[in-house]
Amino acid sequence: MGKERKRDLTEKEQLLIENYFNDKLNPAELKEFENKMKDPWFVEWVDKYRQAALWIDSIAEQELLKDLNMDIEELDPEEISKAFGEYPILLKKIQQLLNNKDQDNDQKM
Amino acid sequence: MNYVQAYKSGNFTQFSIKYLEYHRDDFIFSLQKWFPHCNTMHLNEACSQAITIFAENLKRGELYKLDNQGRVYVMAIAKKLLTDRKNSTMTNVANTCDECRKDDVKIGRDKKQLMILECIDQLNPLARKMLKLLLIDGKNIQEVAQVMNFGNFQIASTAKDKFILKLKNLVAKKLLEWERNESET
Repeated sequence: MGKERKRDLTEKEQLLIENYFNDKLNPAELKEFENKMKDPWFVEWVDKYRQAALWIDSIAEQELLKDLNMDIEELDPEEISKAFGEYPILLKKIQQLLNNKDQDNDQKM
Repeated sequence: MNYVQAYKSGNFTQFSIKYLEYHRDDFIFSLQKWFPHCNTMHLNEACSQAITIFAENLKRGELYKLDNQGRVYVMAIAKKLLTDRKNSTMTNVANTCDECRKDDVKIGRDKKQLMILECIDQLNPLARKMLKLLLIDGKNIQEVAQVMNFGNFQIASTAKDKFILKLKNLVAKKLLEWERNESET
């Protein structure tokens, strides 16, 4: 036997889940959400909703991101050092990523 | 210093990085909800890249209005980086996150698209038309509001949120059914 779906989500529950993922719940709603999460049926719905929302948001957000340059390889190292001067850990991480990218490119050549 | 002062003084990028970096914990907290199987180090790497990409595009003048949209952009970029395995800039994060997401339902890209299309077709005609324009034709909400003769942008935007919520629920339901059928066969 497969898993039984107890019932569909109500509109209120849908909104509760959507707002949970978008950090829009007030303390009372968050408590309500946490209480509902004690039910495995609800947990399963939340997980499937999360996956569905990730797919749909990735399509919906294409418009938002379409003109952005997403390639950090093109960033000017000097500018990065300047901008991240006060954030040594972040700077180190970014430099690490750029170095890894360079190594990947070298290996491919 | 606020955004306008920062922009006028030419320190906009640095200011944005400071501002966004200050909110790093919030970003990680939010990303953890979306990627519960992904460890904090990978989320931090994606967050760092997203902040850098955002700031760089800001500097190039690609993003002219920030208000409170900075967070929206950084979250959207980080989510894209974590989900898009084929992105060439994501050598480390994407590969690892593929493993991190091993508990997610395994469905191919084509099947996913088909599932979303089937769910769009189950919606009412108005929702169907709007979501096809937005998700399939790639129009933005302003264009959709115009094409569909909405009185104003705000009404169209509210309708969009409502329809997308319904669509997510339908796709989630389909996923549950799909997983149930898979476990039966």
